[in-house]
Amino acid sequence: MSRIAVSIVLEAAPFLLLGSLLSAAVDRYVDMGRIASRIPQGAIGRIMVGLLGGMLMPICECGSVPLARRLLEKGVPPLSAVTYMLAAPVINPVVVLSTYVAFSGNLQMVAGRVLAVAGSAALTGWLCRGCLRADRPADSNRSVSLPDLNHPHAHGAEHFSAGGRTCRMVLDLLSSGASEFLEMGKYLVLGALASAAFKVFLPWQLVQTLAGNASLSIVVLMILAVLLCVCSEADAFVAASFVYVPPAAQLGFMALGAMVDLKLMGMYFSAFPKKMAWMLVIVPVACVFGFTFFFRMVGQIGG
Amino acid sequence: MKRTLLALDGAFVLGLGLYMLLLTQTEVYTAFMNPKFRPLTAAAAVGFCIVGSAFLVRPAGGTDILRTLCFAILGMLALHAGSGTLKGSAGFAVKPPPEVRAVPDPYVVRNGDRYLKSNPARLFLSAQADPAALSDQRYVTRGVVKRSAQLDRLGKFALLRGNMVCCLADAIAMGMIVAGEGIPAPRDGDWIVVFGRVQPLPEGVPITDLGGTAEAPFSMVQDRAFLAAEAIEKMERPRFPYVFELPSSGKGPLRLTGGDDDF
Repeated sequence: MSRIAVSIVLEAAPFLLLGSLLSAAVDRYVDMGRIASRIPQGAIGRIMVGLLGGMLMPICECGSVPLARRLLEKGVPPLSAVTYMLAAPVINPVVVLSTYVAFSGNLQMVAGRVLAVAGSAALTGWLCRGCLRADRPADSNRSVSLPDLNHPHAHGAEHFSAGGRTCRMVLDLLSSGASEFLEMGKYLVLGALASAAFKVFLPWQLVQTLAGNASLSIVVLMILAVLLCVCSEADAFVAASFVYVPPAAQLGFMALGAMVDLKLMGMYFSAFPKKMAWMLVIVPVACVFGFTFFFRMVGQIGG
Repeated sequence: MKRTLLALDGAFVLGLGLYMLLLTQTEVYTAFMNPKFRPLTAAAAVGFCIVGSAFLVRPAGGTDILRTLCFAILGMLALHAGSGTLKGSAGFAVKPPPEVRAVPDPYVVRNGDRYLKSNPARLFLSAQADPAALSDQRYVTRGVVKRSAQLDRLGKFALLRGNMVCCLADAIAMGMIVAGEGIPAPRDGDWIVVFGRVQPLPEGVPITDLGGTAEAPFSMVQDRAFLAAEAIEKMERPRFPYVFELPSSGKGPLRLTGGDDDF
């Protein structure tokens, strides 16, 4: 069990560190007022900003949480920030390509995955608007009431030369990144432990039998996606290995796992208000189930 | 107290970086992760060392006993995990340089016949891509025996190998159904070498009662082809029981990719 837990941490930690450093950099150096003022006011425009951000800034699901949290704090509308957070781990070119390779060029699976995740992300972002204090105007500065993870330094008045100031700025950035990593990392460790326990103690023969049942397979694979915490970079390969389950169930596994799993749930409840965290769990589950069910129906009609 | 907790937090981040760096330099890495991710882990390890050191010099944020405890638990888990599933004391030895590693012969000659080395997971994936394409070649493959009531009724057994796609957490035991005339079925859990040919199954028989193996809790066996065994030999569990095949492996030519243990 310890080996499995350690392997999950080894797999996810690099991406969480990247997200934490990006979050710290956004906090310190990005003038979000200017960026936020350019975010469209309409819902479609805001969704498109979130999706485009996800395509252009590839980041794993663990890394996207601290970054999205920081974007919300800086005044980016939830519709854009939440859409970005949920969609970025899947709709970026790296994961699209890995899905394409894993399913041997099956474009239906690639398109299905991207659509399921983009649709779920947009709907979740839209529903999350009411969970924060307000869907504030895009050009506002500090905005939403989020749990405070990163208290700024209180080192008193310090005077540095230009070189010293740069050095201190870099040190602060790295230290803030480490702090953010530690805060989110605790949920990574707890999630990895829980996932390893499930992996060891689940009655796998029963799971395999249930997954082989056409009507139950979608639900079983969605539950597995939540419990196994497989990284979005690799889950297409794992899903493709479940050769006995229908493609719709494989799609459910890939689409949901990148948005909701044990470690992400811990991060959601730590980084966002409770109501919003529940939304981030429930809405993607409902959306993915609906989409994969539809995908299966279309497949049956087509095939 | 606050300073101590912050210092511990920084030490854990630095320690995580050093641990990852050590892993990437040793064979033990393959007990946790697919080796194709070695450069990514090494880069992240350097990053952790830098941010951990920065945090020790100039700590940011507040303290949280739970997070310190979580990282202490992670440290203990890493110590407990040790060298993982690698057998032998050389687990943490630095991996040999490429020029020292011998290129393994892809064939084994037995009774004058040449058998191409391939692991059960790669045979599974190749058969999935095109079961008929494998039948013009003899294969030698190694794996763990898995028996089930369904297979016993058919007079067959499964030969499986843990396949690590990304990390140990996503390992799945994959392999082939084996049948051989006059060859007694080995015991469940035995490691064996099978010499034989791959033949397509006219009708797929999904095997749903396999369960897991010691290496992976979830198994899948090919139902479009089976391995017709010409001979079976018992063997010791290999030093490294996992292989690293991607679904795309089945599309390419059958070849050794992971050294001598990779069949």
